[in-house]
Amino acid sequence: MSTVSAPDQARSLINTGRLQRELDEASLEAVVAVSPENTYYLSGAYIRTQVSIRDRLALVVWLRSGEPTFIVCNIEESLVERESWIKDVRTYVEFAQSPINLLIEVLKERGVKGGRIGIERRFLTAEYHDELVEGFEADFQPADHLLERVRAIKTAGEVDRIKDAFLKTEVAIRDAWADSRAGDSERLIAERMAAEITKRGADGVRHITLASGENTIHAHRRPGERKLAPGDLLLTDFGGNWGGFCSDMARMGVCGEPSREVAAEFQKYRAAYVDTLHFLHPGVAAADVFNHCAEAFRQQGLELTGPHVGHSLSRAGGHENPILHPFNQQPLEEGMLIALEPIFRANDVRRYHLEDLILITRAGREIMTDWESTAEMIRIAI
Amino acid sequence: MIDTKSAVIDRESSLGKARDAIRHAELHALVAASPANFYYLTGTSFLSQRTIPERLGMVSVTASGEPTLIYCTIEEGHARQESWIKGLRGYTEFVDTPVDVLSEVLREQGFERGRIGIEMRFISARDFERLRQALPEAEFVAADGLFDRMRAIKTQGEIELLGAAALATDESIRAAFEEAAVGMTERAIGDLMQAECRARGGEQLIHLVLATGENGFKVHALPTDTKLERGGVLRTDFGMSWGGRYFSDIARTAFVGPLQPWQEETYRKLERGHQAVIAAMRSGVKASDLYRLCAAEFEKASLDFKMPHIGHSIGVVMHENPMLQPFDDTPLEAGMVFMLEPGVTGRDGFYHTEDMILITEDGHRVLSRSADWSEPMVLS
Repeated sequence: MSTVSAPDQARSLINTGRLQRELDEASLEAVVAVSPENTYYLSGAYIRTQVSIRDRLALVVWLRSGEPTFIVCNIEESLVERESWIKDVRTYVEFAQSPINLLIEVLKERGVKGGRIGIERRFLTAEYHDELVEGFEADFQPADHLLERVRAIKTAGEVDRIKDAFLKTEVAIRDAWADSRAGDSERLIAERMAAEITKRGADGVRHITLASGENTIHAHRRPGERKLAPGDLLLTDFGGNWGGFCSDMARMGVCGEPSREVAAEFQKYRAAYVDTLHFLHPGVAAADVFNHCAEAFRQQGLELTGPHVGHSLSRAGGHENPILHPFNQQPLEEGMLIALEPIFRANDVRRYHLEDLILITRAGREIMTDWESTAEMIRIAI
Repeated sequence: MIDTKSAVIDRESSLGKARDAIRHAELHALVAASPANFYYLTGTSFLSQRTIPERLGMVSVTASGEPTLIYCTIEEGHARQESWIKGLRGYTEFVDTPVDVLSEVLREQGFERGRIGIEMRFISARDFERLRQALPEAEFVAADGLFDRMRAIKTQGEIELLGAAALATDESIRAAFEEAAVGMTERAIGDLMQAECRARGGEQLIHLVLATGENGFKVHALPTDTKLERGGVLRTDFGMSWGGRYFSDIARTAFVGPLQPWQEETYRKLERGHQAVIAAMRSGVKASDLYRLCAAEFEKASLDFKMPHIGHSIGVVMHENPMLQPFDDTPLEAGMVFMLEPGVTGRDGFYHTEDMILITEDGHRVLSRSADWSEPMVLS
């Protein structure tokens, strides 16, 4: 058992060295984190309502020099006191005071007036942004990519937590599918998966798509009443929330025996997939991974569909840069985690989809999930 | 198992409300981009709108003519099969920028200089700037309030689904609490609640606050391995999704037993304040008046009143307007659905109760009580 308290642990999960370097390079006096993923990353407090109630802002003001300030709705004060390592917590009363108004007070107090301040323009809404720019004189700069780059390089603690979440997610899928058989509805199988993942420690399901037979053609199919029949493909893209971290895995199954055509297609798809898995290494651009994958598909006589073949992910954030798409020149770096997930749509009648977690290491990569177990599709009893 | 399959909104009513709003606010076009408003106007929404917010789905409605639905091509199957909108415009992620497609659509509709309603409380600062640059002569106005008003009066189908979901959630909490006993962990009780709720048709877990002991002082504490102890308080605030897009949200407080005198006193006072507010809920009363009434009731009972709001509307968003807060002067109307949720921090943690109240033509109806919560529940 660790003797480190939760708040101190949260601090150790932050890549503070990289953050400092980024702030120095961009000459920013401060950066203001607004999105749930960034405030959670920087504060260690996971504020559930930040996701469900978008107006109720939580903000971390991180200064180039000096301790950070955490601005939260007073409803969350007690949670923040217990979970965050940030000592300077300021609260606003919802509806009585605008969170931006309090942010402006804090910025004034910290003496950054007129300076360069990074903000998350991709998350802050137009309305709040207008309020900030009109109420405080500063050189506001977009800092979305900056924070993304900091979060993209994982600390050892983060890698352990995310890996653990993925491994348990895979077991949840396999156990739920082992209990399933022909005649079960997609919905029933999904319920089993949800029960299995919470049994293994997830706080809940983050996303679940589950499709069988002809439904596999849809990218994000919600499980429905369709019943599994012998020969059907079963496909899931499934993830849970794990104390603020998330998992995101795709696996394929088949009810009974696959047709020869499907078995052959799957092996071709998987060969291209495995080839791409082993292509990941530091220094390669995200776009090159996409292009390599497209080429691997072509060599198998398949056409790659989908605008990207994978993405990074972090605490509370599902799809993060580097996203492996053909226009992203960002290089992979040691310490990044990638969820690889190329998709193949066969003749517009079915889809093939696997997803594994890979850590980029100095020497190349370490595949963190049990990719070898996907050599065959998971068998579901007839 | 409650019916979560039937559609609860329809094209005619949703687009009718949107066009009334367009006329009322003298707009040329009304654009929805948040998953909630997009669903309300199109009959569908994409899972990825929530998990990958930058993959925007949008719909532009005009006073007449077919609306245009803008979607990422990955979601093509959903757009074609699930939406009642026939004007479809796909964009390729990373090749096209979604707001650029929107400006193209608005230009084609002839609204380069038009008055366009958009969701200023949803669209990001970055996207808004790009839109303004693409259509420098258009006038963009905040349409958030228009959408709030459209959704505030629920359809009959919505009322039935929301009411059934609230009742099923209450039953699930009660059933799990009936199983709970000294030594059980918060997590185990939470798992039970989820299983009960799924058996009744609940889909995804939206929030599960569950606390006992010291955790009881955190208003939004997630379940841990802390065990129930004699004399303790058990509190939850729990909700799942139903029919893919609607929410339930119920809070309850119970006692491990033996019931301590201060526990009973705090619980009964909270319940009395709650009932006094419920009794006052009818059409014409302002949201802010209910907030003040609650504050007065708390003061009478010597309870510490600290809540910035005492409740909210619910539907395709967990907290919808009108909110029961001091600055919301919206008068209640028949067809509105509220979650009334007063709470107070007592000697041993936060006490919380939450019910669904439907405003009717002749008053109100409580939709969420499957058991008699007016008496403190003591675990067996």
